[in-house]
Amino acid sequence: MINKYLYALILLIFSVSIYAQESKKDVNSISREEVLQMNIEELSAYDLEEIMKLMDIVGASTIEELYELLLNKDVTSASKSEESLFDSSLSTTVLSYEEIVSNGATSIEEALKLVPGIIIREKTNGNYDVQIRGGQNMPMNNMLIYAENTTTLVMIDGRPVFNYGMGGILWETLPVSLGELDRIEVVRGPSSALYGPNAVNGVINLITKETKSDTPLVSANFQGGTLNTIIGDVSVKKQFSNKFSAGVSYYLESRNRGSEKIYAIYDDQYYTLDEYNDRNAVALWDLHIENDVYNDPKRGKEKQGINAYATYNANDDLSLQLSTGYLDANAITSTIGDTPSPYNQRISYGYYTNLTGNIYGFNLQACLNNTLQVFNKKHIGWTQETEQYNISLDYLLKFNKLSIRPGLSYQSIYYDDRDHIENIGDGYFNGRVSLKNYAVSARFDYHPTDKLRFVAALRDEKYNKPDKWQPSFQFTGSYKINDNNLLRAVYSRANQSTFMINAFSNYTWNLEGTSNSVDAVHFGGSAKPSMMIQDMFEIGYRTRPAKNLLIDIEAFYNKSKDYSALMPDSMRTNVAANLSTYTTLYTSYRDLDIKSEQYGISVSADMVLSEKLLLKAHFTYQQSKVTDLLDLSRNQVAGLQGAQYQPALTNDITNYYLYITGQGPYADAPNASYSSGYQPGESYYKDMDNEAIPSFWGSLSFTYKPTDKLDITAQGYYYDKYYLYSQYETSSNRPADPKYTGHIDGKFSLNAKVNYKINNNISVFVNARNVLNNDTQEYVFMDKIGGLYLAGFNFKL
Amino acid sequence: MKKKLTVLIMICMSLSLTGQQSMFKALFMFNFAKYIEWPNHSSQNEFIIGVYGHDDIVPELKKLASTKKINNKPIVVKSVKTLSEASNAQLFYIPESKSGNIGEVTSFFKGKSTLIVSEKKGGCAEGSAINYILQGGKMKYEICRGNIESHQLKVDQKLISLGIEVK
Repeated sequence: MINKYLYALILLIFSVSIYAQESKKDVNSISREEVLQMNIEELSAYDLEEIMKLMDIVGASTIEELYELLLNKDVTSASKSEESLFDSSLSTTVLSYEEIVSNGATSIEEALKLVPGIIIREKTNGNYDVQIRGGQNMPMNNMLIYAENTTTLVMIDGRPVFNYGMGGILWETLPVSLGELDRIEVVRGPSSALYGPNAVNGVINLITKETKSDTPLVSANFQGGTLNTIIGDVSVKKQFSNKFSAGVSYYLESRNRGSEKIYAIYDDQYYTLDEYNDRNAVALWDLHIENDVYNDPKRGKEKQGINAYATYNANDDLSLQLSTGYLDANAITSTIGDTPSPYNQRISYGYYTNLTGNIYGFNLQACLNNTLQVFNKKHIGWTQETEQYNISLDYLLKFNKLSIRPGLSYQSIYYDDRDHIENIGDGYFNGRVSLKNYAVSARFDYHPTDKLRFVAALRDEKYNKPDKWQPSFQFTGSYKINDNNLLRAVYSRANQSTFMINAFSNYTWNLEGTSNSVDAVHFGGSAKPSMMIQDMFEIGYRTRPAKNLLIDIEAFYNKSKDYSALMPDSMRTNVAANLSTYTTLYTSYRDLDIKSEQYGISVSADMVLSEKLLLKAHFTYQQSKVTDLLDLSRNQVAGLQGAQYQPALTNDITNYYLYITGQGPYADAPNASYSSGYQPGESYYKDMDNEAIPSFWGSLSFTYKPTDKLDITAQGYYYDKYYLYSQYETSSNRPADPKYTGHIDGKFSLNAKVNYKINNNISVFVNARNVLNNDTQEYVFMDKIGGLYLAGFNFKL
Repeated sequence: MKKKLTVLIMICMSLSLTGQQSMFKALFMFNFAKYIEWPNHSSQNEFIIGVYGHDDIVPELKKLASTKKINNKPIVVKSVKTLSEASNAQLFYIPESKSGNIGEVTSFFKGKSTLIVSEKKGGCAEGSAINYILQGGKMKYEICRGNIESHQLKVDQKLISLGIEVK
C-alpha cells in the first residue's frame, strides 16, 4: 500500500519535473503551485527579474516572515540610531502594531501589559496606573499623588509628553490613537543622558506610522461594546510622490465607568453623587468646591482629536516630518486632592506641533504644546494654561570603530492660571510661572572588535529651578559571545526635573467651616527644590537558543535619593479680639532624607512555535525598601506642631475668658498668635519595605492562526498582592477597621480576541478584556474593574 | 496509512518551503554574477563561490554548479571555516549565522576582486556589496555600488535598479 502511494508520488514529481523542463513558462501566467514544483535547475533558466517575480508568486515562507517580524526587530530609542534589538545594550522592548492589534489592547496603556517590566493597574475604565519596574510611593504615608509614576518619560515620535505640573503622565491627554502607531519602543532604566530629565525608570516612545507607497489610502478601526465603550480612528494618507506624503487622522474614545459611585475616604463608602453631596453637607468635609464637580460621574473617559502629518524628503541629505494636532480629553480618575474623594475629573484641550528633520546629517526636533489643563475640576485654582517648547539638535559623527553623537537641547514650560481665577490669591500659582532647562550631551559608541561594544552617554543639564547644573550618564558594555548570545552591563544615572508644584506652589486651601481641625492650609514652593536622582546597575543576557526563540533576561539594582514632598513647615493660630481663632497650616516642598533601593529581575520570551502558534511571555520579580522614612503623615506632623502650643493657647483663652466674664482671677489677654515650627526627631524615622508595587507580575499570551483568515489571541495577566501605604492607613478620621485600604489583592485577568479576515480590506473581531469578569479593585480607592466585551472591525483601502 | 502519507507530504512541503529561501538565494547569487564584471576575467579557470561556514545554500549552489557555468567557467562551491581557504573566491557569501563576521570578511578581501554578499540588517553599511533582506515578507536585496567598485568590479545598472540601492 505504502509503496503504491510512494510510487504514485514519485511518478507525479518526476512527470511534473519532466514537463517543467520541457518548457520555460511565462512568469506572468505561472501559478504558485507550478513554481513550487520547479527545481533549481529549471529556475536557473530565468533571469534575475523573472526570478524576483517568481519569488513574489511563491511568497516568503510564512515562518521565516514570522521570525523576521517577531524576533528580529529594530529599535531606535535605545541609541537614537536604528539598530538590531538583539544588539541593544540596554533593556529594550519593541511592541509592533501587529502585536498590539492581535492582542486586542483597547488603549496604549493596556498594550504595555505585553512589555516586560511594566505593570499596569486600571483605576477606572480606560484610565490606568502605569509603572516601569516601580520604586514609586515616595514618600510613603502621604498623599496618593506620591504613588503616581513621575519617573517615566513618554514621547510621541520623540516629542516629550510629560506633565510638568506635578510630574507624571496624563495618559488621556496623549494626542495619538492606537491605530496611528507603528510601534512602541520601551527602554527600561535611567535614560536621562539620552532624553533629558524624568527618563529615570525608563522611556516609552510611541512611534507613528510613516506614509509609504503601500500605505492604504484609507484605514479605519472601530470597536464598541459594554460600558458604552466606543473606540475608533480613521486615517486618510497618501504618498503623492517620492518626495512628499501627507495624511490626516481622527480618533475617538468614549467609555463609561463600571459604576457611577465615588469613594468617600472618611466614610469608607462608595456613594452616588447625590448621596455624597448629602453626606458632605452634614459631615462638612469640603465646603469650598465648585457646584459641578463632574461632567457626569458615570463617564470614565472621553477623548477625541485630529492629527495631520506631512513628510518632505528632498534628497538623502534633507528630509522633514511635520505633525500637528488638536485634542479634547477628559477623564475621571485619581489623584489630585485625595480628600474627601480621590475621584477627580481632569479636562484637557489644546494643540501641538512637532517638526523633525534630517538636515545634512543634523537631526532636528522642534515642538510645542499648548494646552488648557484642568487638573481638578472640583476646586478653583487648578486650571492652567500650559505651554511647552522643546528643541534639540544632534549630529552623528562616524569613524572606523567609533561613532559620536554630540547634541544640544532646550526646553521651556509655562503654566499660567491668571485668566481662570477671579482674584490673585485664588489660584494655585497665581501667575505665569516657568521651568527652563538646556543641555549639552554626547554619546560615544565604540566597537573595538566585532563582539565588543562600549557606550558612554553623557549629558549636563542646566535648570532654572533649582539654579544648577545636573549631570546624568549611561555607561554600557556588551559582549556578543556569538550571533545568538549577548551579555551586557549598564551603569547609569538619571534625575527628575523640578515640577511646577515643587517650585511655585502658592495656594491657600480654604477649609474654614469644615470639619477639619485647621481653617486653611497654605501650599508653598521651594526656592531650591531637590531633584530626585537614581543610580542603576544592571546586567542582561539575550539569547536565541533556537531560530524560533528569543529570551531576554535583565537583573537590576537601583538606588534613589533627593526626594521632596509637601510637608508642614509650621502651624499658626491667630486669636482675634473676640477670642475666635483662625488656624493655618503652612506647608511647602521640603527636602526629604528618604532613600529608596530596589532590586529585581525581568525575563521575557518570544517564541514562534509554528507558523500557526506564537507565544509571548514575561515576568518581573522585584523588592523595594526605603530607609530614613519619616513615618508620619502630613496631618500627623501638623498635629504634633499644634500640640506644641495648643495647651498654652487653650489655657490662655480660657483664663482670660473667665477673667473678663468675672468668673476668674486676673489673667493676661492671650497672644495675638501662637505658632510652632516643630519638626519630628529621629525616633519617627524608620526603614521599611515599599510594597506599593507587587513583588511579582507577568503576562503569557498565545496567538493561534488556524487558517490565513482566522487569528485567535489569549493573554493571561497576573500581578501579586500589593500594599500602597498612604496617609489614609494611619488617619484617625476614618473608621477603625476600614473596608477599603491600600491592601489590594493579586489579580489574574484573561483577555481574548478572535479576528476574522474577510478579505484584504476588512477584518472583523470580537474582543473580551478580563473575559472571566474577575471583578476586583486594581488600584486603591478606585473602581472595581470587571469585564469589557467588544466587537469591531479594521478596514483599509 | 493515508494519514501517514498526508503527514509525509506535509513534512515534505514544509521542508520545501523553508528550503525555498536557500534555493532563491542561490538563484539570486547565480544571477548577480551575470551583471558583474570581474577584472581578472581570464586569469582563473574556475568561478569560485565561497560560503562562510555551513549553510543550506551550499547544496543549492552545488546543484547549480553541476549544470551551470558563470562567465563560461565551471562553478566551484567552497564551504570554508577560515577565510584563507577561499582567498581567491570571486564571490563570497556570509550567511546570517556568520553575519557578525562581516568586518573580518571585508578586511580580508580588501583590495581583492571579490563580490561580498551578506544577509544582515545594515550589511552594506558594514562593507558588503549585496545584502539579502526580508521586506514585507519578501526576500529582496540591498546593493551598494561603492562597495562593489571598491573591489575593482563593474556593476550593470540593471542589477542596481532591481535591488534597493544603499549609498
